[in-house]
Amino acid sequence: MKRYLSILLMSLCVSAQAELTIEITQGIASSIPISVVPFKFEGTAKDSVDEIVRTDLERSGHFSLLEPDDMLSQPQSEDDIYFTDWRLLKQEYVVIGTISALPNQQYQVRYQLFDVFNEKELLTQSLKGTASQLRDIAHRVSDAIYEQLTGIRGAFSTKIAYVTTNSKRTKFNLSIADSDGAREKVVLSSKYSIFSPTWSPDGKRLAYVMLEDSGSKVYVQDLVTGKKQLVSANKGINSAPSFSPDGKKLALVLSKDGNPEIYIINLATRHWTRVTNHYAIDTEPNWMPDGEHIIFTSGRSGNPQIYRVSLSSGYVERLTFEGSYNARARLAQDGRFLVLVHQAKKGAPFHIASLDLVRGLLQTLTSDTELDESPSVSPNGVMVMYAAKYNKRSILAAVSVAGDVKFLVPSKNGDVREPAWGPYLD
Amino acid sequence: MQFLPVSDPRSFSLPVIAATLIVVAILVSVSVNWIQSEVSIVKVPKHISAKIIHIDKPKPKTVKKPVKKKPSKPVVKAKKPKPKVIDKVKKPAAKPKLKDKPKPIKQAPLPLPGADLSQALEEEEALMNLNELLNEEVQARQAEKDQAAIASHASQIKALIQSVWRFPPSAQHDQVVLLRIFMVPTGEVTEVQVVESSGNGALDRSAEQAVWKVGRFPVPQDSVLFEEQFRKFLIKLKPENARL
Repeated sequence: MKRYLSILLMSLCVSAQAELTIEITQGIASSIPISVVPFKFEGTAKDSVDEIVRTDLERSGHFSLLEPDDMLSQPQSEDDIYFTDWRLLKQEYVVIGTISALPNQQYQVRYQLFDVFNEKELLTQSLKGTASQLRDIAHRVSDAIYEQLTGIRGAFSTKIAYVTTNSKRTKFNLSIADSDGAREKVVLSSKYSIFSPTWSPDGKRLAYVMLEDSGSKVYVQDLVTGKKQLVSANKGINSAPSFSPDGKKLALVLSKDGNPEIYIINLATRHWTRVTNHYAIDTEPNWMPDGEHIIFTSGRSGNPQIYRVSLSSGYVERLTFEGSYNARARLAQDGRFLVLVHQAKKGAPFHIASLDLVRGLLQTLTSDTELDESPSVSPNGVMVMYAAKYNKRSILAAVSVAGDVKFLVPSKNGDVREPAWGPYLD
Repeated sequence: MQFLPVSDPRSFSLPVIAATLIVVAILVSVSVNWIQSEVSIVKVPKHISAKIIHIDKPKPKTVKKPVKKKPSKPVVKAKKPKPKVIDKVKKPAAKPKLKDKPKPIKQAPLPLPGADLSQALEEEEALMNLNELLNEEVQARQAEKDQAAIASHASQIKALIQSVWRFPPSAQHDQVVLLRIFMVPTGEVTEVQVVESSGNGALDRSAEQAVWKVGRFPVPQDSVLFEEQFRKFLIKLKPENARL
């Protein structure tokens, strides 16, 4: 009896012991293997939803996609998925889907995302639209899968704005397109050159600079009605507009009082406020997400560097110290990163770099292109679109803020410049 | 109805008592048999795993037997000490005790050198102490061995998970996921629970998936050690090499 009691006591002691804990502190930060099986499609349409999803995910750099030809099977329903097959192909996630035609010329896209190792459905969604909306649906599918697996909101459904010119530089177009460059639409066509397009936070308006015969002017154009409104036509420079996070104000650069300084205009009251006051050039303002600070480029230290000014106190703080030239800064990931044009030393090429404001690390992101300029960050803070010289043409290229993904955005002809990545549209 | 005296031949009392006794006797014998058969079933698997340890450790057996003064034991009983050794090993933190106990042994003989009887008693006591000490040392060695086995398997498990854990780009270097893993004695994972979420769903899932991706871990051969440490255990995942 005593023996049993002691055994019981011992087992109690054991259960009271701390549970074995194994600590893991290192992992792999590489792209996630995923298979998007061609969707079952009853009907015909020019856009292949699964192909767009594959391209979107691949381009994000966070995924590596299996070519449909390399798949052992192409299941169209959950019952047909043999997870062992996908494990054999070293796939971690599988997407299957069907597109069915509805009576009123509409299509229904239904897809499912599966975890191969857990053999479990992670996501399923059903989306409806017309044939012309299949591309939008595909981007929304990409957004949902991307967010589910990376923990970052997808930005495949967003738009970009940019300026194109013909080779003789006699005609300028302000255009918007899908973030992958598809479905280009001309918003404004002019004989004057157009600069610095920038989106309002709601994605309904664009502000830009037009260099007319009488000088530079800043306009805000409504994208739905196409109506443009003159905001600033002061004496001297009117440039570099940037919307406040609430969309009610515009920061811009004026030289009406001498050298270029940063001002804020309230778009409703037309009331002006001066932000900077320095004998050096202050330019390229960009509002921080808190609405309380603006970052800008200034030559006050002898060469261009990035500074931050507090709108309430007027306190100015220098943010960049590395390199002989840092300019045209944009913020990524809630202000954690600065993305800017960087020149390491005089005579070195201009490249896009990211600066981690928390860790103080500056990383040059681009190397294949020349004269990189005007970086613009996707609303989820992952990708940077910029203009560069490539084969003697000005083109758009993209690079991830982490520096590991690069691609060129196709353009038909002529030069493409001044990209501006639009906000989320809902 | 009328109750009849016991002496009456028509009385039911005696048969009823007899029947009750028989039923009780059967119940007792059945339950005793059942318990015995249970015990023998338990012994069989211990038997098998025990052999290895016996071969490894002939010393503890020989030391133990004289202490208990049970020299002639059936073969079945001879193998019993082994599970006991393992059980006892878990209970005390053996090392500090080892250092504490030698002192009284050394001190005891000094104050009483004259008295023969008390000296003999002392000697016997010292011998018993020594045996106890030896026992404890054996246990301590086993505990050390167990600790080494735990550490070795834990580091193998760690290396396996680290080689497949692909954390998402949203992972921050200071986020922590705590998982509880359940395994069967083959090392196969049967269940993964998120004990503490990192707050980042994608990171939590990547950690869970890493465990499933490995699917089967190396575990100690010793079934007691497995039950105590690896039947269920915790893993803490922290992406210290994340960019954010």
